[in-house]
Amino acid sequence: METRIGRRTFMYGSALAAVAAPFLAPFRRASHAGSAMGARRLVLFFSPNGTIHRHWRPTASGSTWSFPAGSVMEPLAAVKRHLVVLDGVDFVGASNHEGGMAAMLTGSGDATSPSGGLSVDQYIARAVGTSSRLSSLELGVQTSAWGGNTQTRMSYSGPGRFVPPDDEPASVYRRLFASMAPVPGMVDVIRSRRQSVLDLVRGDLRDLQSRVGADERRKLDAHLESLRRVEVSLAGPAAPSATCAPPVVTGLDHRANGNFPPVGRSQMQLLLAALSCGATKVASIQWAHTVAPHVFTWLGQGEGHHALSHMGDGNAAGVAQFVQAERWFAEQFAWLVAQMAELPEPGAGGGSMLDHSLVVWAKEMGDSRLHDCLSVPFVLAGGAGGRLATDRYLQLSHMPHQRLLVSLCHAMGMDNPTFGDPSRGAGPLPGLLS
Amino acid sequence: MRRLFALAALLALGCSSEPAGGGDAAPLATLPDGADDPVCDADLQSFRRELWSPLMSLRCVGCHNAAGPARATRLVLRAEGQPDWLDHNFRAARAVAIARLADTSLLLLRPAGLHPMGHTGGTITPPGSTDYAALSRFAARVQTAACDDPTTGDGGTSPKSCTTVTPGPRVLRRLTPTEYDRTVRDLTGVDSHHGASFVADPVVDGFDNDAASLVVSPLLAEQLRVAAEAIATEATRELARVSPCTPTSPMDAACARRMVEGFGERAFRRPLTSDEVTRYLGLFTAIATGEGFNEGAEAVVSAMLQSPHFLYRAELGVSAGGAYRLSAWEVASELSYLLTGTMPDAELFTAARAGTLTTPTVIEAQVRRLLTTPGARESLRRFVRQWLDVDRLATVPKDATTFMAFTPAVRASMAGELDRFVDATLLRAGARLPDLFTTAATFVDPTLAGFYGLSPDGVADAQGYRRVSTVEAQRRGVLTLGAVMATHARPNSSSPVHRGRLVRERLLCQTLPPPPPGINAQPPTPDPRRSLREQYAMHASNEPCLSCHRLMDPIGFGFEFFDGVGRFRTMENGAAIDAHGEVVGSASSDGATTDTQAMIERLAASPEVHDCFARQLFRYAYALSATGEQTACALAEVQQGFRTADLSIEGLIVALTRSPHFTERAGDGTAVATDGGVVADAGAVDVVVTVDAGGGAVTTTGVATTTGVATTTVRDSTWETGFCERVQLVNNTSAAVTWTVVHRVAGRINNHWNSERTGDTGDVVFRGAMWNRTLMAGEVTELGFCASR
Repeated sequence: METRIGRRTFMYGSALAAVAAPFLAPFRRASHAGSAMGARRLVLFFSPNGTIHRHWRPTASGSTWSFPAGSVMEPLAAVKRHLVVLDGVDFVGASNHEGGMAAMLTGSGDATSPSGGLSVDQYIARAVGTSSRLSSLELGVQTSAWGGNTQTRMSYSGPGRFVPPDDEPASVYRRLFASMAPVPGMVDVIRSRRQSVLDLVRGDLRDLQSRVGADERRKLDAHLESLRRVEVSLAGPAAPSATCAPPVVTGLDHRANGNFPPVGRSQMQLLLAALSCGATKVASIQWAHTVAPHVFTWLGQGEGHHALSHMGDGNAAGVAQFVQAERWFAEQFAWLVAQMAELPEPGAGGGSMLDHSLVVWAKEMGDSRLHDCLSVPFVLAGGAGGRLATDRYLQLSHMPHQRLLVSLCHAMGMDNPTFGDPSRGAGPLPGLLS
Repeated sequence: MRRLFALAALLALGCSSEPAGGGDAAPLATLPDGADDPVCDADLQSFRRELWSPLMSLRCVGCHNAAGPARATRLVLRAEGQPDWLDHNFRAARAVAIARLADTSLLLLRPAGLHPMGHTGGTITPPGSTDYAALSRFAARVQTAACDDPTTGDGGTSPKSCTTVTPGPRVLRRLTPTEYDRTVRDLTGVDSHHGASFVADPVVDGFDNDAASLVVSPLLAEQLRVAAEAIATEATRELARVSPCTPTSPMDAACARRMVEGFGERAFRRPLTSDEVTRYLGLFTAIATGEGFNEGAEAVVSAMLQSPHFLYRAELGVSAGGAYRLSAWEVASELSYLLTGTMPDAELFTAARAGTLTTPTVIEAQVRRLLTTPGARESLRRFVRQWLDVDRLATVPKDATTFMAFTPAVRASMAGELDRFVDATLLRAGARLPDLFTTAATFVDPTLAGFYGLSPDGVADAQGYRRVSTVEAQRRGVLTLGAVMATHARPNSSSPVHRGRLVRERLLCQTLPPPPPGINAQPPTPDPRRSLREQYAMHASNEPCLSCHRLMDPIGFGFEFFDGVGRFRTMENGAAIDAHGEVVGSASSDGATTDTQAMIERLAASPEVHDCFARQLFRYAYALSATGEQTACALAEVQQGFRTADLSIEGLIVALTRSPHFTERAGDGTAVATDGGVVADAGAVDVVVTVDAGGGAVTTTGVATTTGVATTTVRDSTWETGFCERVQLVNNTSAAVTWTVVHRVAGRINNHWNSERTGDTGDVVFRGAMWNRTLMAGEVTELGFCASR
């Protein structure tokens, strides 16, 4: 059954509207949901500090296109056949590091937008992720040295409400696989005890709710919602199988600058394992954050990534270092895409995991030197279950990125007409999905 | 031009101390409480021109007036022509503009629909609109320093005079990860480091304890569960850690009760209610029946560690004539977490139990006692680390080629140096704030002695640190410590910008905006032929840069004797260091300085720095980022107390604990009576709504009324053996409604919330809980349940 909810109705009235807002995402699925058409999973990959278009753009001539030697995306050549490069997508009305970071996945939506101010990953997770053990999985690589703020967070479960990523591979491992080989017979006992404890905690929360004002009640509502997620995840991980094997995670200092590459690799391996094991359908990996000061020491660099991103053309050495750092991110994205192309599809239908997935490399700004959000570079990968024709360079012009976010939803089988600020544009990106 | 009145300065929307227009005298309006608080005419006219006429008079006042639908919000405006309407409206808008959530003004969030609670009137001012831009300008003016007029920073928000000091709101303060670990250690004896790996919380105003921002995200809830289970397992290995008695049988009920009551009182920092005792004993019995006493105790400990009564510090109080008075238990927790960063110690428990923690004298005696405990060190060290933004010392990126000697060991030693310096300067008997800035000594271990090139004598402490008087005149006080100088620098050089910004934002309490879009923000590349000062000269010659950088760079140049990793130096690239600096744009501390020592002495003597320090400790202590206006007079009083105490640190802390906020809270108008009182619902209509929960979302309008309550069911999780649903209700009538919902449940409910129910399967009747039983016109609520099948 399909019902439209009068969203605006819910936005009017009491403070509790805010609690209601996130649950108004369209749980409706388009007709191809569940069929062979449509992506089964979404993976977001973020890297910070904009780009320099001159060093980023592919070259194109008719339908043939390629990555110039020495350019940022050259490391993607090996997986080019799986890609769609998007040029000309703007964050309309947003600029600068923080503005771009806030708009990137929310489409500048707010509590009254149909998307309710959620980021697109959370919006999709609410529609497709509820049958998974984890409705979504957020992984980070050194995102949190500055704490949580608009610069360091990209996922939102509501306006201004961050969904923080897990920066620590060991913690991710524990959440995904800790009880993978439990003592026989103990599983039910432990699960039942955990359920009893949760029930008791919920009772305490409700007691407390009756004593507090509206703002604190909202805080406790969020807590209750979090407990519900915990409760669902208590179902425990899948048993190991041919398509589901936990990776080896070593105990690195996940906060040390120099460990950025191995921590990132661990997180990507865990992400792949979570997908293979069916733990989630919506996953993201966030590399650092906007204004990230990381020094790519493993490339022999001595200046921070953010500073490098602002080097003018007069500083050829500085620009070259920025390009080198961006190429490194391209290598990471290429690795992830190549792995997904190698892995078998864990669900029905055969093919590779990549065939049935949609992977997005997102950034928060366009030209880093100008602090603007025009022609923000996006790279999509994967067959999206037949919805995405790949090996394309799509040159658009001033296309509002809300329409890209709509396309991501549609690729996942949803049919929302807008995402984010609906005044910026409706419908999916023209020519992207089939 | 210097501002005569700090508050007027804050609001300087092009305001001068002379009446605008030269003719009429500026109206000296009064605060509602009669405080003498002048607002100059130019501010009012600017507000009228920019906000009132084009926006608020047209789109806000219709609802936001004393009789309108938005009368219970923070923003209650007066129509043009009503008494003092302009002045009143200006103040009302300003109060909302100063209040913030996650660092953003409510005035921007609410009408733009960006606030988590939405805006009942819909989106009026979407980001990107000219109205939004006008609100942004207004909010920026009242919240932060505008670069053109730096004296408008919040360093000067103190009202000139306050006749009434209003306490802040009733809050729940989730334990920070640090507080969590320390509390667990004191509570269970388990050496917890779980908190240290919890997901990072929002940081507001530099501090990680902001009451409004600290929530339990799904990820944190899972981490808390894992931590609680591990801690409970370890703690109950030796039962004596959690139980005052040794059970004589696996089901020793008397001992179980003593354990629940005893451990519970320490975990919740107050005695348990009889209902709570019953519930926790119920859990104990359910587990212990099959598995034994220890397992039962373990489940109780695990549950208590996940309970909101453990995870949140309640500062709710009990209703007392429109306001709320905090209980002795709540005050005990306030004292212990402020001063020691952990749960109350035995003496505080005793005092709370005796109910004596109510008078200023008793509280002050506890303050003085707690300041001598080891816990006080931890808390003040933590404050300084966050205030000076050096928590990231361990990870701040550095170029290993330029600074080969700056090893992880050096970073760790610098953290230890800062801690010892804080102990010696802030916790010494009679310590005064200037000591922190001017003390000519530091503490180095062998690693740091070698790194700095210092030769300490004296006795080493347990970690090998020795005190050393600093010979160079330039090495003075906390600002020149390696931790501060290295953190506030670039990866390959020092940074006058970073250091200047540190002083501006953290010592003068003036917030600077980011660089405007569209300008080249390229930092200079280290050039061995030129001094850093020359390389930064572009800022001074480029107009868009100059307006802000003149506030930062000249202060930062004053610290050029310290390189990018905090080493003292006299030469750079073959030339003598030039550390001439200047403070501009302050209210009373402007002037040129010749070197680091002179810069530091200027700052140490600055009344703005003193007030700002009090503001920072006020933030750290109360964590109320969202209530700036409400507590402005409380802050002013604390700042005055600090000055009266001759800048004594202990005097400042005592002033904080003497503030009404420490023992009372303002009524928030939304609290639900705890005595079972229910909102009067005269004229209410009972509505029965039957919902088919067959699948997907269903909207049904009530059958018993022409208007009615609409419900929507959302199934937000489902798994093999169960599911959770919530039913959203909206009162579409124009009258209050007391509701009942009959909901078909295809399973058996094992828990539910926000409602009371009859039955647990099939057609279950839900009625509202105490607080949502009655829905006002247009009001929304939600009930929920989880069921097994």
